[in-house]
Amino acid sequence: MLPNELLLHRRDFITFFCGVLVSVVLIFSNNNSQIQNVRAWTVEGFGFFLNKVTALRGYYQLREKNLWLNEQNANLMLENSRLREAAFENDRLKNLLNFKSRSKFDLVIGKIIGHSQDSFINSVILDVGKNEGVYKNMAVVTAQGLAGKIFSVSENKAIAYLLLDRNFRVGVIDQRTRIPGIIRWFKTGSELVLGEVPKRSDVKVGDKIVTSGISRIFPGGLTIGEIKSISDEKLGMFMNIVVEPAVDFSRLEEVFVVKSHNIDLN
Amino acid sequence: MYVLLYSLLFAVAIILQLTLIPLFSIKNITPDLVFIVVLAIVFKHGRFWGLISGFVAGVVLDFFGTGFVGVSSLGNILAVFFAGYWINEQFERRFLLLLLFLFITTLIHNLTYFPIVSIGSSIGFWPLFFRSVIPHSMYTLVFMAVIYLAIPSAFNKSRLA
Repeated sequence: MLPNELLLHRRDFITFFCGVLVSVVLIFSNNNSQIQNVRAWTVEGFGFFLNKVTALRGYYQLREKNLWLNEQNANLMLENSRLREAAFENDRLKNLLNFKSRSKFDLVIGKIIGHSQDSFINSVILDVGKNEGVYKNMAVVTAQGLAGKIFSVSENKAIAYLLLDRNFRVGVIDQRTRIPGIIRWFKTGSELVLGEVPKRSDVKVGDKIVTSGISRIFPGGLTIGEIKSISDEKLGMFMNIVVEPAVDFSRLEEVFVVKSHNIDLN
Repeated sequence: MYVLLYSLLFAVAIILQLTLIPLFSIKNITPDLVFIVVLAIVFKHGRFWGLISGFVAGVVLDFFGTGFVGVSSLGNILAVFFAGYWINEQFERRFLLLLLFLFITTLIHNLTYFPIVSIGSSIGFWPLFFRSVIPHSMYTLVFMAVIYLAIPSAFNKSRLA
């Protein structure tokens, strides 16, 4: 059998093994900058069409008014978060004079033009990118609270993790007791788990969970959600705390990227 | 000509997967439209073109998510390779047999995809199987059945592998 005939005869097997090999290599090269560049180009290339199809869904809405109202709402939410934080701070530090509290958020509105969604991956594609001053790791918020953060960005588009993505982690505190913990996705459904909270901690069902502000990525005081249920791990040192997110992820249409924030509660 | 036509078809499928298909999501379970198109190509043009299209479409789709790039393509390739072996004329006459075949093929895809995507989430195999693999496979199968009923030629052969 001639080499060409052999290749033709075995082309399925050759294609299969090459495909498997390249896929495995890609899986192990995900942090490679070239892969990230190709990702950015691909999202940018498809972005135009994603925009158009998504726009079809919005024709029946009063879009401009909604955008304006949402922006106002988000600013009020952020201001409200800051004020709530300030009130709690005030309770604890009421004897201190010269208490200063300043907050300034620079927001950019991003329309969601695509979702990538399955049991583990929950991300959205936004119609804003580097040209609007959006960069990797910036916080993404809605009027209800923290929604996610920027994962990858191209010139005019960005991909953002949502809280329900398996890769998402954020440092938080119980707003009432100031007990810290780490929020992550609950492995299934649309709930979050508050981890690293020691047994016998004073947390209760209904407590509000907010960002701690310890990381430089997220402003402090952003609402994450409310504690829905609490139980103790049988063997571990920590509690099992389930948190209901404040953001309704099934209704997301626009979000706000926090370009810069400056919170000084102390 | 076919390459251009199917490239366009995949582009449309990817755009719909990212824009309209999430509207049908039930508790984050969504049908995989792109995989359905890949399977339709296996039926129409055989395993070789199914492997090529499954790989390319998988990689492109992975670029839009936050998971590992290459996982969807790996799942597509393994499922298509299996599908290419078992496709036969009986599927055109026996709808239930076709559904069973499509379900097993989708199961192979999801059994490849989800264990890799879930790495680091500390979820066990059986919870993963029952909460993700089976629901995603069932939902994709329902979509395939609807597409088959709407366009019967979608899963009929023009040339078997």
